[in-house]
Amino acid sequence: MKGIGVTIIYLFSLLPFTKAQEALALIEKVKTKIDQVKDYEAAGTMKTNVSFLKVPMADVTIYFKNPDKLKIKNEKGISLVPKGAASMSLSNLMANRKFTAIPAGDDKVEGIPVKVVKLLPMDENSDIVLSTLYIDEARLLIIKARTTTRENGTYELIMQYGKFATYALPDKAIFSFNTKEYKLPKGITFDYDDGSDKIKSKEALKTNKGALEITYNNYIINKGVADAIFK
Amino acid sequence: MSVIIKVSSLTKQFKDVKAVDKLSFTVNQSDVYGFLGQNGAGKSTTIRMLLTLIEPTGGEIEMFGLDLRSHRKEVLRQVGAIIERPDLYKYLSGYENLNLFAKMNGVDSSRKKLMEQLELVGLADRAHSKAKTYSQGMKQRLGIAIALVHDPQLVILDEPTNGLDPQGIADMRNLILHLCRHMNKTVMVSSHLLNEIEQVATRMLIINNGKKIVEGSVEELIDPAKTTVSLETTDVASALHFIESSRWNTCLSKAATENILLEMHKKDIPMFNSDLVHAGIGVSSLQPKNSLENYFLDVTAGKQHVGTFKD
Amino acid sequence: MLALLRIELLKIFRRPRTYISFAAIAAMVGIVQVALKADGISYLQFLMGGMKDSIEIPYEVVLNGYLVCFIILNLLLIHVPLLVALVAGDSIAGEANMGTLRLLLTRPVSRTQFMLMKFTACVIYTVMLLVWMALLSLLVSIILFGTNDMIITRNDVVEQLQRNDILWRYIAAFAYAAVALTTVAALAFLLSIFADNSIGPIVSTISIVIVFTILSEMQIPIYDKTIKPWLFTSHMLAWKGFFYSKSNGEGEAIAGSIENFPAIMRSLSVLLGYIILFVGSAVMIFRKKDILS
Repeated sequence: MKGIGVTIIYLFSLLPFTKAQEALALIEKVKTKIDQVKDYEAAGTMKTNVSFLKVPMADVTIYFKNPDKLKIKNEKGISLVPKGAASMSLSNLMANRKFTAIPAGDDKVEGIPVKVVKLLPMDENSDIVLSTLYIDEARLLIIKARTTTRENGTYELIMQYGKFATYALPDKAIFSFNTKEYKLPKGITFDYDDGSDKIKSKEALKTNKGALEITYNNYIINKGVADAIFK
Repeated sequence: MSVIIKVSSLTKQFKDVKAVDKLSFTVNQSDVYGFLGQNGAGKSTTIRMLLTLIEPTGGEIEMFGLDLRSHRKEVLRQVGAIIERPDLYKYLSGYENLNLFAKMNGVDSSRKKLMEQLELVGLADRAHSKAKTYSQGMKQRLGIAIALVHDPQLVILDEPTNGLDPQGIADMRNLILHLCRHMNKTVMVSSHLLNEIEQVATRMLIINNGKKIVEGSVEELIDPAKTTVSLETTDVASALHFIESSRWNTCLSKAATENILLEMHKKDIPMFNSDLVHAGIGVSSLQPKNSLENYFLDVTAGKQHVGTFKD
Repeated sequence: MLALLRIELLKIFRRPRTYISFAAIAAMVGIVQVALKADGISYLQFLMGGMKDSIEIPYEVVLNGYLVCFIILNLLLIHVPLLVALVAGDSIAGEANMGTLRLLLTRPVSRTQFMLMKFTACVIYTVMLLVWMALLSLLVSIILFGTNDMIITRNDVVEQLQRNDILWRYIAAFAYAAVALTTVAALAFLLSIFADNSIGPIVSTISIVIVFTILSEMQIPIYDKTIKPWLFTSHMLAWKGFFYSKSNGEGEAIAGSIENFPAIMRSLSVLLGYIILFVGSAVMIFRKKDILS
């Protein structure tokens, strides 16, 4: 009897270890899928929702080079791209970093059942403190990633997959991040004061949050992207 | 004889000064009407009221038989004026200045007509020079051309000889006479100098402190039979003795230490002078002064009571 | 009437000092353009300093002709009204000073007609000055700096207008600016009737514009609610309202829209009201004025 109890306790004690192994294995599989793409050039539209920005939707070109180079360009006009948009690539989260994978159970994101895995970088000097990945195990796709950093607070990436799911490339990516407060003194701007109530917008300004939504229309994958583009 | 200007009880009250006080006078057609008074007597204010530059406080002004207030445009079409010195647009040429005023008057401003008028005042060869390069005399002449560009019936000249040299003064005098005698215009000219007025005017008005002192024809007011002669001699006593014992004793008016005043007909002065010389009296100066001038000076200096001129 | 207007325009445009205004604008606009061409990036970094920590700013394309024109208009807020006052303030006072006023007013032209034609000539001058300014600040800037989207840094929000959504806004803004400057002209015109020398009206007009602009911009609560809505300078800036677009609530600018068009129209009617007030008062007072110059 004692033997069975010890075995059960032993087996249970192995559970976390097993779960961790499973988590790591999952991460490895996802990473392999992501690493298919060495580079891409994508055409898309970008919607910016930053509290102090009022900008139109823009046609943009997104350039990516493994593991962590990402650039959003507006060839025809101007795009005000938030700093840290380079963190929009998933491979960034896992590239060249040694981390500990901790399973954190199951969840549902947008109705899709996901496995939650937390990544803790082993490098103490890393800016990233913690990344939480919500993975669609069946398709080996990361649906959501929430990352906490030392310098730039917490940001979140939500991906919607469609045509390019086999390459782990999203149809739509929503990137939420923190912004610094923006204010220019009236003595410089000489704005027109139309006398309207500005309370609402002032409340919105206090949130210091922003979101970038990119809809990808097509990708040119692994055809080579020059380094000069990312300067 | 039609009445060109009829002013009744004209009054102008500035804040604490009554510049014109119930002034009434008449200017007839073809008059050269002299308007005489000291500086500050109210001449300019009166003229500016006639020209609608100043609004009267009381009284009526009728010109060409029309009430000035209700027929301003019609009246002013027939009036040309020079007010003190002629001020022009210095950055425009003489021609352009004249053109501007011709257009404002709504009259023929064709090049031919304007050049004719500049020719008349002797400015044709400087027509296209900027007015700032003109001499004072040339500016005066341009001012005249501007005042006459619309061929007005009535010409009003307010102190037109101010700042002019003797030649300019003489030219102005000739112009006034020409306007009246040859161009059949009525002229009203104001001045604070009597001898300017008496040389050209047919009728005159003297005002002081905004009130009328006297109005009438020059002939009546300046009687050559009543010329005052001022005699300055090297020996007043001898001169006095001679006069008292000669036919000239009835002319004696006043004897002072520096001069002797007599009253005689203007035409007798040369004879008197001759008699003095024959009597061996040294004549330093023999100045005829008309009695009107004395009257004017006395009244405007406040020495004489108003209205006793004919005494 | 037309003949009178032509005479007044002749007086303005034959005067050398009128051309100083046009030269001054050319110089001021040119100086700003040269400075921005030489080191516009630094200026943009200053202007957009509020967001440079959060946003990647492509300065080279942000500095384009449309933005340069906007910067120029912003910088010349006080200067151009001064040049307008220079001519409008001289309207009556200048004639009095020259001695020509007394000659003009003895002509068979009503004082009302005279005043209205004088003011109309001032307005024509103002519009021509503005057209000149538009050509230099917009057209020349486009030639020198090209075109692209326009980024406008307001006090609490950054706006972006797309390249093909800008020109019509400038046309509307310049048209509005013409009314704004006419308001300054009307004020100078009114003050001109009280002086025998144009310096007085010109300096007074500019002083009033400067003081009112300070009151408009200073953000002191006691003035904000009471005086500010009535100051014409508060409404002179409404031309900028043509560059503020509506947002769809999610930070997205709606192309071809104006954030608060009714407010611009309200400001326009305030300015028109002031013009009528100033010019109407000028005419009414001048009709009764004794001309002693």
